[in-house]
Amino acid sequence: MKRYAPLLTLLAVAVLGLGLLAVNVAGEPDGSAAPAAAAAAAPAETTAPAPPAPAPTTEPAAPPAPEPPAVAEKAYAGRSSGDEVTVAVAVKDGRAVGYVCDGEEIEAWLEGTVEGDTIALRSGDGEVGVAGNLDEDAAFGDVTVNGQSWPFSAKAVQEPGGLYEGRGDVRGVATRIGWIVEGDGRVTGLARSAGSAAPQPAPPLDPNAPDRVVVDGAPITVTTIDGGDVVVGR
Amino acid sequence: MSYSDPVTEPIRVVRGSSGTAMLLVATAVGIAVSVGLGVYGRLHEPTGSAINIAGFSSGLAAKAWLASLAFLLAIVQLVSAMVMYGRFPGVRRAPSWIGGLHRWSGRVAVLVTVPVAVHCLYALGFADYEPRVLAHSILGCFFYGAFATKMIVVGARQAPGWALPVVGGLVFTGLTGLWLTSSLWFFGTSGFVF
Repeated sequence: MKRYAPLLTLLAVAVLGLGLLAVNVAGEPDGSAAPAAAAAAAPAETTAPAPPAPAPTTEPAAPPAPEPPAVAEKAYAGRSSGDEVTVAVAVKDGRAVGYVCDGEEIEAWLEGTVEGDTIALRSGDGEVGVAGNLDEDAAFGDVTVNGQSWPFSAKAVQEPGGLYEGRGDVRGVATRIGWIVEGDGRVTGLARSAGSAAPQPAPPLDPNAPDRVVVDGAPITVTTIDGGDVVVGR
Repeated sequence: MSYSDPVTEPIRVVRGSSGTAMLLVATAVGIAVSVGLGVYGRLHEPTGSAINIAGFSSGLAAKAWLASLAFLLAIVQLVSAMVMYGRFPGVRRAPSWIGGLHRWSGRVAVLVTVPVAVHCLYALGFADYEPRVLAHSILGCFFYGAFATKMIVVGARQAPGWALPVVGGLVFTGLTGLWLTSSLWFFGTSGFVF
């Protein structure tokens, strides 16, 4: 008996560890399972090549008295043609706000304008940009990340689809999280902590209960972003 | 000198090759545990959150305090082991209860680390976004591997005498490094919060 005591200790540690893991897995909200299932269910949409991406109408050469925006207020969510990044744009009264994210390492908030049916957005550091056209149903164009450019397509979405921003103090560190919820329920997001160079995985967001996000015990305040919000610091 | 009478022939102490083999097996198990934890932590999708432990302001505070308790018990481990090996200054003869103290403080210490490690692995995974986090991830995997090796070595009488203090020392070093890269950092940035 005495000889096997250390092995029993080892067994007890393994059993406790696996037990806690099982409790965690069992208690996991549907949040993380649902997007995975949705992603599996709707691969067709992602692989569909972005319809004729209208060449981003050559830069705002000389903006002759801004045209009234073609769409007053709407949110769009979609992906680049090769599924490199998820793109969301919200417009309101001629202003546009966007979030570009691949769920792994690329993540940027953008702001810009809507003139007629043309949108142009860029991030605070200018490394990420979105340019294209939109109508009531969809937005098409090009998304540029650190010099690489991909065509994208984004469908108009209703809530709970759209852009979400979360803010909170995690371990005493200011943390900002961005999520894109696509029309089919897929959620893509990343978190960024003050002072940390690389973004971290975002906690799961249940778009139907956005006020229940908690990271390491710290409550996260989640807000729906529309085209009128300020998302790029100056 | 040769012995012909099987009764008087000295009993050959089973050491050497089988002891080395036992040590190799124990080390292999430890490596398997470490690599297994690391691979799981790296490959599965971190959830960012997990079941919280009641009574603390945040999951992280709970982890920091549990890890600190484990570290305190690890110091008990170090001292009691030194006493058992007659290496503690001023203590000539190990008291009879020291073995029990060593065993039970060790069991409690490692069991206390388990909820912490499960949270790390399940909610955060093996991460490398800063040196502290990378060191912590590596040490976490290393610690449980070293612990598994130690549990096998301590129950195997054939293992060479130096093996136990060396593996025990590695377990202690691992836990100390884990505590420095997590709890101490947490108390340093967030203060002593419960």
